[in-house]
Amino acid sequence: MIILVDANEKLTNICFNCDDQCGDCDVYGSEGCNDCICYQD
Amino acid sequence: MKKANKFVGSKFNFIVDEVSEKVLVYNTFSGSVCQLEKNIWEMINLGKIEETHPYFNALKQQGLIVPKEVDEIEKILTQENIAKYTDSKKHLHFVIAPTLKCNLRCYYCFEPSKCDSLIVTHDTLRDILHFIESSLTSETKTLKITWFGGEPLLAKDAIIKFSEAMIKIAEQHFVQYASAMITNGICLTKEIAEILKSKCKVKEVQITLDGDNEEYCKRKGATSSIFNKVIENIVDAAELLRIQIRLNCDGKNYDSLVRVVDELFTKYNLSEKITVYLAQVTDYNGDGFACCNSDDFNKLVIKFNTYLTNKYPLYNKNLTKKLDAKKCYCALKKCNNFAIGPKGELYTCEHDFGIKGRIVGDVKKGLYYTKYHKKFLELHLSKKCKQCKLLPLCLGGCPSMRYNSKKEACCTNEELIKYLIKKKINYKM
Repeated sequence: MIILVDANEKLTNICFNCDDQCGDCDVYGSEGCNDCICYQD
Repeated sequence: MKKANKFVGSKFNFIVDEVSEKVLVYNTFSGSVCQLEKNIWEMINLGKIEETHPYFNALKQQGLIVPKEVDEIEKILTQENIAKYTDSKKHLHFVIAPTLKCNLRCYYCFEPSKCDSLIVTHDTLRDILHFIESSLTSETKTLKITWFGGEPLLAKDAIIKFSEAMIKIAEQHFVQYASAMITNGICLTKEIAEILKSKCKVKEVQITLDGDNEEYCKRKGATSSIFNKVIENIVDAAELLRIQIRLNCDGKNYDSLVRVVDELFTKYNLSEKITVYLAQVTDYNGDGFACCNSDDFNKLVIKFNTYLTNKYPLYNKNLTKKLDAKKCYCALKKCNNFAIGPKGELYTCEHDFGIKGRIVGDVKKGLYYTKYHKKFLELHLSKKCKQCKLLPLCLGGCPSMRYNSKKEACCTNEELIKYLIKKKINYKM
C-alpha cells in the first residue's frame, strides 16, 4: 500500500488560510478556493 | 460463532486506475489517493480487514474503510446541514445586483429582466447596508460581496458608494471584507479597475468570453468594436486585479474559444496573469435552448486542459474542478447568504434575479418564509446521486437548477475525475 495523497492533504490549491471551505468555488467555476476572501497573492 | 467485521469499504472508494496487480483508489470523501495491491482491495470490499491487519490503521486513517455502523450518505447530508445552518454566520456572502440592466444580449441569459432599466436607489442601498450589518455577529470572520447584474458596472456609482460604507461597517465589526465582480468587461476601463481595487476592495473579476470576435458578436448581440474593447480592458485590468475568463461553451463554439485563448496568451502574453476555464452553457430554467450534456462537456474540459498544458507549460491554473469534498454546494445554499436584487429583494440564488416567484424576502421586511424557500433549503438527493461515488465532490450539483428545471445537475464525471487525479499526482503505474 502506497499513500500518494494523504487524507489530510488538500488536493487542490485550496486556500490554506481558511479552514472553513466556504463553498464559493463552484459559484465562479474557479480553481479551488483561490477566490476565497482569505486568499493571499 | 465468527465475530462480525467492524469496518467495511467506504462507499466513496473510487477506482482511478487498475493495472496488473495494483489498484489506484481515490476516496472522494477523505481526499486520499492510495495505490493498493489487488488482494488488499478485494479484502476491503469483502469487509475482511480486521484490526489485526497490518494496513488496518492506515486504511482507516485514509477513510478507505469505515465503521460498519456509519451511514456515509447521512454523514455527508449532516455535514452539509451543519454548513448550511450552524456555521453559516462565520463567512457571510451576498451577491448584489445593483441593476438588471445589461448592454449585451446573450442568447442563454437566464434573467427575464434584461431590459429593466432600474438602478438601485439611494434608499434601497441604505436598506441593503442595514440588512447586511444586522447579519453580522460576533462569530462573523469574513464578509464577501459579489457584484452581479445585469451588468453591474452600469451602476458603478452605486457600487462605489455602497462599498465605501460597507467597508467602514465591516471594520467597526472587526470583520474582514473582500469583494468580487462578475462583469462583461465592456465598462471595465483601466480607471474603473483602479477604483474597484482601491475604493471597493474588489480582488477578483470574472469576465465571460464566448469565442473569438465573430462568435462573441453572434452569441452576445455585440459588435466587433465591443469585443475589441473588452479584450483591451482585460489586458489593462490584468495588471491590477485577478482576472478569470469564463469561456461559456455549448460544444459548438469550442474551437472558437481555443482561438480566443490563444489570442490572449500569445498576442497579449497573459498566460501567467489570468485564469481561463470552460463553463457549461446551462439551461437553468428549462427554457429549452441547446447545450451539450454534462458528459460531452467534461470531455471538452479534458481536451481543453490537455491543450493548455501542452501549449502553455507555464500556465498552471487549469484545474477547474475541485477534488476535495464539499461541505456545501455553494455559498448561497447557506441559510444566511442571499442574492439581493436592485429593489432590495432577496433570492436564494443569483440565477433567480428578476423572477418574482422566487423572491424569498426583502431587505426591509426580512424573510417571507415562502414554500419555495423551504423546498430549496430541504432539497433531497436523487437515488442516482445517493449511489454515486462522486457525491462528496458535487453534493448533487446546483440546487437551483435541480429544483427549477427538474433536471439532474451532474457537474462532474468519472472520466474527468480520473484525468484530474492522474494529472495532479503525475501518476504512473
